[in-house]
Amino acid sequence: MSAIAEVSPASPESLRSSNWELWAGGVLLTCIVVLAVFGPAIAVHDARFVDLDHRFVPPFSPGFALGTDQLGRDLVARILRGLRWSFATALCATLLASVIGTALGLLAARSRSLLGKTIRQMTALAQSFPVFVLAISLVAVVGNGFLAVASILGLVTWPVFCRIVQAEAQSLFAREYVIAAEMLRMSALRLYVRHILPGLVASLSVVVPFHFADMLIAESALSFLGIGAPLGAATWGNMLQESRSYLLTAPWLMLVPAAAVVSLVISANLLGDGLRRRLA
Amino acid sequence: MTMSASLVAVENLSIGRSPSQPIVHDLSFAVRAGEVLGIIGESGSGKTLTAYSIAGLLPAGLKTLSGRIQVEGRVLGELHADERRALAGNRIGMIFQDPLSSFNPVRTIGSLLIESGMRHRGLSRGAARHQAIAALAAVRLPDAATTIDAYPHQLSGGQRQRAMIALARFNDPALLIADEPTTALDATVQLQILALLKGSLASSALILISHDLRVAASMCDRILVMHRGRCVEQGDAQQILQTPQHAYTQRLIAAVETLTEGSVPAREAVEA
Amino acid sequence: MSRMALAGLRWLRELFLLILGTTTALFFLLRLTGDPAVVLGGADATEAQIQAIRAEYGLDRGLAVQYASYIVSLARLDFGRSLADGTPALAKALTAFPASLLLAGLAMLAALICAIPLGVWLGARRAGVARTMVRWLVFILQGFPGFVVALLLVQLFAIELTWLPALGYAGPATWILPTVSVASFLAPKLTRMIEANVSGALDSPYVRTARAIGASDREVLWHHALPNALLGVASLVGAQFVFIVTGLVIIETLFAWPGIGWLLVQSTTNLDFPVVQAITLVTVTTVFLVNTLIEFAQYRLDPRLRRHGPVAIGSHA
Repeated sequence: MSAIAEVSPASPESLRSSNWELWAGGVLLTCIVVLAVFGPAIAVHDARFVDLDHRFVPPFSPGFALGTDQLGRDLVARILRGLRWSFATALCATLLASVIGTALGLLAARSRSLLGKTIRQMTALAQSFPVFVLAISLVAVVGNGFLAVASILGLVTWPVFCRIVQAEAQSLFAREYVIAAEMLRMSALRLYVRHILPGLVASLSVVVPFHFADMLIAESALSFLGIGAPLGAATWGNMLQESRSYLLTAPWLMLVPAAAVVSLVISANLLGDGLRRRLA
Repeated sequence: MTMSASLVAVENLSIGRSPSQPIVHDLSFAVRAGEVLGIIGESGSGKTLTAYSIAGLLPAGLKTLSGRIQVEGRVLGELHADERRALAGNRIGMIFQDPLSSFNPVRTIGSLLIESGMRHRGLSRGAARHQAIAALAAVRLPDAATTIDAYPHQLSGGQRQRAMIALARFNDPALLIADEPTTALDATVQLQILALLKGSLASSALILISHDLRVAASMCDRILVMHRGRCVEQGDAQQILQTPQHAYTQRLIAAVETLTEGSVPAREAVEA
Repeated sequence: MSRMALAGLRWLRELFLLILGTTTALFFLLRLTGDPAVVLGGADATEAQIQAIRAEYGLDRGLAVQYASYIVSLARLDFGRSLADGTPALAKALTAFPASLLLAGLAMLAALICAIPLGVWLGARRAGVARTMVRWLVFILQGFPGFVVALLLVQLFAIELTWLPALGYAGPATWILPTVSVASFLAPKLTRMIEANVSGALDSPYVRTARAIGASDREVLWHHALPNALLGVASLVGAQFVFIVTGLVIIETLFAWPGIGWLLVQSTTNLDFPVVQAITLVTVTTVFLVNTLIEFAQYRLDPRLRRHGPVAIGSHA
């Protein structure tokens, strides 16, 4: 019996065999994507519009569904802008990490050269490496901005994908049909496209939503610390940081972005768990 | 053969998740003291489930749907949970197929024997340990005094299975059930284990479960052939092997003969 | 050479590679992502000022030369001086270390105290309304990032109820909220992992053997399943320790806890590179040491990993 159980944030299974997590996660994320894409068009007010006459309006007030902040800016609009920022950075970071991680993972599984060994060694060491610390240092140096945050987060988290692809690819390369294909001198490209990559899709699909959730948390943590997002930009992390001065008088300034972060993370976790049940 | 003379009597046993989906249908057989009954069938035929229901080890979700099982005159279905547990490892000993996974990797071989002895015979720890060493020696495990403190991964497959037999026999049970005891072992070791099983019978009964007709031929007094949860044929072992009545039994025998290019070996092949 | 010595050498080599790799990566990343002299000079530095900075920090030498002198000074444990207050960078980092160690230790303890009983209970109970509800709670909690938990806790206990202080590093009262916040990074996942271990153990063949010798449900859980399931806790802790470090950075900043994470964020925003480098190295080394300790604990606890290994006792099967 293995001593370590790799467990992703799985939701409670019911005795029903229907995969409601997949359904729920998918629907929630689709709604969120729609909001992200069309968001600023939906919002009645502009997120940057400072309205000193309407400061600290509580939620559920007429005209301001989620209230306004200390500068009178509409929270609905700010949340939607923050959604765009968080979703986009997390998505790009995940894509970048998955592409790099898959490529390096394939190399690591295959190559007997020094390069392969190095990659394997790095992946092993990376497991105990506090990447967040590295990300902070790098973003601070590189500067703020969407590109910086997304690319750095993607660049420091590739080992997650590399480890999985490496293990999966190793077992795939050892399978008889792959060995047979190689003996038949199948071109490398065809081999990868037809045999290896399809085998990887299942495990990769399960990891992607969870990694996306991790990137979300990392990004909002970074902007909470004042790193990565431009000052005053409407990101959820920024909003949470700014809300700290007004916790007594205007608690919704903290609760609204907090709820937003939690909802998005839980939706991603649901989807990931649904995929895991479906594909694993 | 009257019911009262048999050690184990199974009448019209059905096992399954729900009455509409029985996995084992209407099974009846009996085993006498000193007798070896072989339950033969392919995987999925329900033979292991039958064994588990006698031993009280049915997995969650599966239950006895109808019929009854009697062991030493007591109807298992009428027993309290505690009474059933008092039988396990005491009057009924179970030997499992895969000795590696069937032993707890973080517990020594001896600790299980000692636990069993203390629980069922009220032995003190010291006395139980003493007897455990003797039991391990009785199954021809070398250096029993050291083996008792060994962990499962430190023994070979054959040694583990011997230890499993020692554990099953420890409290001198009336009934031994061996579920594919040699399937996971090398060919040379298989013969030794079977011999060990056969030699340990005395007045107890043995139910031997296997998919391998040759094993059955060499060990069993009587055979019961199962197919898809039903008893297809049962009776004297040699009779069934020489003159099978049912088509399925005939196919089984024919399949083995094709592999071995000859007839199924006779009983005397295995010596203790 | 004895096995122990060989293992020790291999461990040293890994540590060396880790440190070398980290420092090299930092060196090149910090230089290739921009001109440090420009960054140090600030937004409105003149060309002359930037040149002066270059000369002062030796940034006008060739890259290889800079790297060599960098490595040499690292070997002497000379990380340079903090650009903020001139104190030696390494000393500054090490001064902040104990506070973080305290928080990390308390949080790990708190997480284990919550996760182990809960995980065992969830894994042992196969069904029931209570179990389903608790599993839901754990799942939802896992969706709360640690700093959100911290903010909510502060809102409730410090602002609304004023039971606990919202900031600072004074007595035990100030320890509670930060500890719970960092622990919330770990506890849900740990709980799920322990639950999986326990229910996996209960479904295993050796538990069937235990029942075959008459063990009751209670005996099965305590004497057969748990020794196995909890054996994995050591490695679970190790795998999760990295998340503590991440949590420390955020939570220390939130609570103005004067630890290494808070220092990192400060130094990062001040572009105090020597201190950033020192902190990164201290952190990485600590994580490595903790993982080594945990591996060692595993080695002692798990009979399968001990020296003997698969050995055929006796010469015949």
